[in-house]
Amino acid sequence: MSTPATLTTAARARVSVPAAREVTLLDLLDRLLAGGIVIQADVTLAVADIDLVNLSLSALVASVDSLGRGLQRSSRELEAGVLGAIDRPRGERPGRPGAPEAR
Amino acid sequence: MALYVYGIVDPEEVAADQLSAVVSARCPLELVQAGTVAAITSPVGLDEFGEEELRERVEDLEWLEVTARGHEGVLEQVQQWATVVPMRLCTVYRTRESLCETLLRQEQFLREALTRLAGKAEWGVKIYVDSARDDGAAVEDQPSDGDLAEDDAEGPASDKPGADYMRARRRHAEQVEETALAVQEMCAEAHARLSAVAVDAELSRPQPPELSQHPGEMVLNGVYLVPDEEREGFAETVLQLQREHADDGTEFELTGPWPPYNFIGETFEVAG
Repeated sequence: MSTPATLTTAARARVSVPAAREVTLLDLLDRLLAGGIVIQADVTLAVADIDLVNLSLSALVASVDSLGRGLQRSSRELEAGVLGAIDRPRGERPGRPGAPEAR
Repeated sequence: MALYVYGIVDPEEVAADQLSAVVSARCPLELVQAGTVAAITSPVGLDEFGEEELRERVEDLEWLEVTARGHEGVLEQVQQWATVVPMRLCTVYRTRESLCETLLRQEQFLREALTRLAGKAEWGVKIYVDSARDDGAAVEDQPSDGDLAEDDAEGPASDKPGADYMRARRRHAEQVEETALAVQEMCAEAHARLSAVAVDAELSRPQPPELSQHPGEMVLNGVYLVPDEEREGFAETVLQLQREHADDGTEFELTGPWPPYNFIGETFEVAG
């Protein structure tokens, strides 16, 4: 297996998109803060209740060009519609609690 | 020293001396075996990974990134030759005894997870749509004298700006709805076709546009557990989907192989 890399399948058609990118921090945190086993430990990172957006991600945000408010609005609308049509997002699934705060 | 745990492996697949070849920022990596399972660990200080300290650190993006990439890096390397059951970021045990106790208590669950995940990896597929294609913010604003002709491309501007405005607004609303429906159907179909090649599939929440670092709008953020022998078939499915949407501004993005973070099962031990 090779290092997870991002294969942008549209790369051939779109010169502006690189063929391979570094694994983004967001992709990583998406998995590492929401996935993986949580079994009783002496110390666990109880970040289940921390929204990614609320972390000090200002550095990330600063690197992204300002996006129009219209984009953000329609994203929320579509998100609700798409996920509702297929499945519920994992975060809302019952019976899957966040990290228990083991001591 | 306390022990940071990256993931769980089968001790028959990972020999202690193999770990010395794994590159890690936190050294040395050590295999801690209990019963028929083993944890990949490295020593850490509670001055960094104590309960209170951790809460402060997690707000430090730089620290979080180094820690997350370190965690991922170790698992990625081991995953090249062994099945790993990944742990949540920052799982720390104060003593070796405390770790072994937990491993033994969870031995059956961990063995089942190792068996279920053997020979499979997690792959991510994101779908972005061209955010400009339903961008009609202009008609959202109250019309001012003079800009109605631009909003209403059909027919000449009438002398009833109010009616023109309402018509443009209605048409815009219909277009937005049609676009949303089409995107919804495309995502459902893509997810079904990708799931058919995988043994398990989940939907993650699309990443917020201000963080996704992508000019398009993420409409699907799927994760798929794919057998290694289906890897090419899975990638081919993504390519095929992209070919079918070559001209409509839709972009499919494949990432992986990842340790199976999203497929470790539903069993969580409740503290206490």
